[in-house]
Amino acid sequence: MKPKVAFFDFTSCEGCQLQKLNCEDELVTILSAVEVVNFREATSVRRDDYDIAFVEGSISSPTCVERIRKIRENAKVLVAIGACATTGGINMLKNFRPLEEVREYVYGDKAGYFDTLPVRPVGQVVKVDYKIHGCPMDKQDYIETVTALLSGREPRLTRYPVCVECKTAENPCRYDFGEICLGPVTRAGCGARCPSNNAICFGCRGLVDDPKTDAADDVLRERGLSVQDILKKYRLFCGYAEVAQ
Amino acid sequence: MTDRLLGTTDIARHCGVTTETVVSWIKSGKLNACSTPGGRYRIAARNCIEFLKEYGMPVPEDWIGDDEDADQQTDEESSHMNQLVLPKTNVPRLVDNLRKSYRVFGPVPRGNSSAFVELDDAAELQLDYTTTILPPKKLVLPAQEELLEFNTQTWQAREPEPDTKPVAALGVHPCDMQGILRLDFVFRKGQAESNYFDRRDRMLFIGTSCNPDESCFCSAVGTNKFDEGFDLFLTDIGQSYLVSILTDRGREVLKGLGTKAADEIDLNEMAKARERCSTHAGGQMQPSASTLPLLAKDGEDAALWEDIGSRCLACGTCNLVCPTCYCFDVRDELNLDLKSGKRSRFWDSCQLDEFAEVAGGESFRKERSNRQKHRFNRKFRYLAGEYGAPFCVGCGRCIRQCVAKISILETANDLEKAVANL
Repeated sequence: MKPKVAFFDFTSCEGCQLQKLNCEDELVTILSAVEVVNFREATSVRRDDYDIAFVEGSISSPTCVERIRKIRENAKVLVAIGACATTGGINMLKNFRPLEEVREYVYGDKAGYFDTLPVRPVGQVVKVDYKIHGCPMDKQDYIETVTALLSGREPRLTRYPVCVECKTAENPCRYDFGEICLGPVTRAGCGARCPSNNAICFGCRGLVDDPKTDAADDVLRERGLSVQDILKKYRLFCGYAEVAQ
Repeated sequence: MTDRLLGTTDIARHCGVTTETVVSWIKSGKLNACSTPGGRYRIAARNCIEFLKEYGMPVPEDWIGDDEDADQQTDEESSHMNQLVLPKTNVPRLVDNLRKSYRVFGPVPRGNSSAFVELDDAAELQLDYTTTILPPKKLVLPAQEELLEFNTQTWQAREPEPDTKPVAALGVHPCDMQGILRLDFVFRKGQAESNYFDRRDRMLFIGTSCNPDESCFCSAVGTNKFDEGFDLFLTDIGQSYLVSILTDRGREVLKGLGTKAADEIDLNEMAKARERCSTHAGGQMQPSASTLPLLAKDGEDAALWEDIGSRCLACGTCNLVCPTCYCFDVRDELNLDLKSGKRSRFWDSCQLDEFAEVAGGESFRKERSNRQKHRFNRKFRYLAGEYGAPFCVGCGRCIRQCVAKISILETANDLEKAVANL
């Protein structure tokens, strides 16, 4: 029997779901191996008897909390996809300003209609079985996760930092241009996409399991950055680490 | 120039011998041959002609190409000499010559450094460079390599067809060539590694003199060798390169390039240029190379490893850019059909968290200080003992590219002081 899968979105841009539809060469193979029973962006079918739930977006309101709990109850396996779901992503910037102020900024005089909560990654609200990192998630990671789940093994999660893929791609180091790059502490798996296009790594895949922050802070301080500057660099995608502290 | 390939039977018939005799000529190095993917010998007509002439045997006319005579005339003088002068303006012609029989790789500018890339246009080449981000090691041991394709239904495995076109690396510095000679040593130990040697054996290496910077220290580790491993070596003597011919394959690619024999003045310039390469690099290492193995051993418990460890980002850069690091990780990837897949290998690094992890998640080298110490020992002690020279070639890449500014040179110097005070 084909496993039944469902896709859900929370606070996000829905870009990760688009990445799934971007798997054009593999889509037919994936769809012949699974049965999609719930995917708002792609089908009108709405069923709750799914085995695997792929969840995009972060949890930022009481309604979100209620919905994700329901999904967790229904799903045998829950996979968080994309930075918003795995780490809180950019949405977490909200947590560094007063909640009321943010709400008014977004909804103006209708703010009273919208309940809001500090942003949390999915894993802080319900148990997450697997994560697919990145902003947006990488389609190869998604295919790897689907293949792993179908064949009954753990999906491979890259654990080394972006520098490994960056050096392999023979990119010049962004630090040599006086830039501050989060590659040395960020989880790889993206093929060092940003440095390969002359940009710094913004840390969208989150920190590696054991970031060498003592060494990284040295590096940043040596280059004249204050603690505040350093925090700002991390906050774009790795605010979760600061919140945890 | 003729590019016709001959089989062993063609040559056997012409010389009146058996094919086994021809094979024995090839095996003893008298006759240069290449091999087909199926393992059959093929001999370039040009090599065969050279062989026949050397042994005073007649050359069949149809083996000689149209412009062979012209080539021989212009280079007749040069074919007997091993030191020639090549005007720099003729380097593009050398590239074009090489491209007839080889995929040609050479240094081109990249960011604030350089990188070896396949040259589609000789104009991209920048022979006058300091260093590349990755060493030419990547041409013999690529960062990622498919080993086999498998099918779990039929239990069949198939190795990918190797790319058999010969590769020429142009502009290789002595330190990087020494790196490749050390890789040869490693991959020949025990059972020779066929994936490595399939690529290695069809490579042509053309060296160039270098422009050392403050991170270079080749002379301290004895890798400033201009005549080991290369087929040709180009020493920059101003308006020209002095070309030292080190193998017949090297001599072959110089045909029709308008070289002239080097005179006394040219040879003097060459000696001076090589001296500059060596002296500008390597005054900074205090301990002499021969004392390093003992130093590494005696310095096992030195306090400096803790400090280096705490500064290390464990990002793997030092290993990935090293000309002599060869550790790799093997991964199997199953395709979505859950039947077919492939096995590949990837460069690995002993500085990464996963490297020394074993089943159950335990790591036998958890501390970054131990990983850094391990790297130092790998370069100056363990393999150095077997090889008879350091496994660090003094290229300086790990120093230049370490974001945390950890320097293996400083480590060696500090270790000497630390051991003296123990």
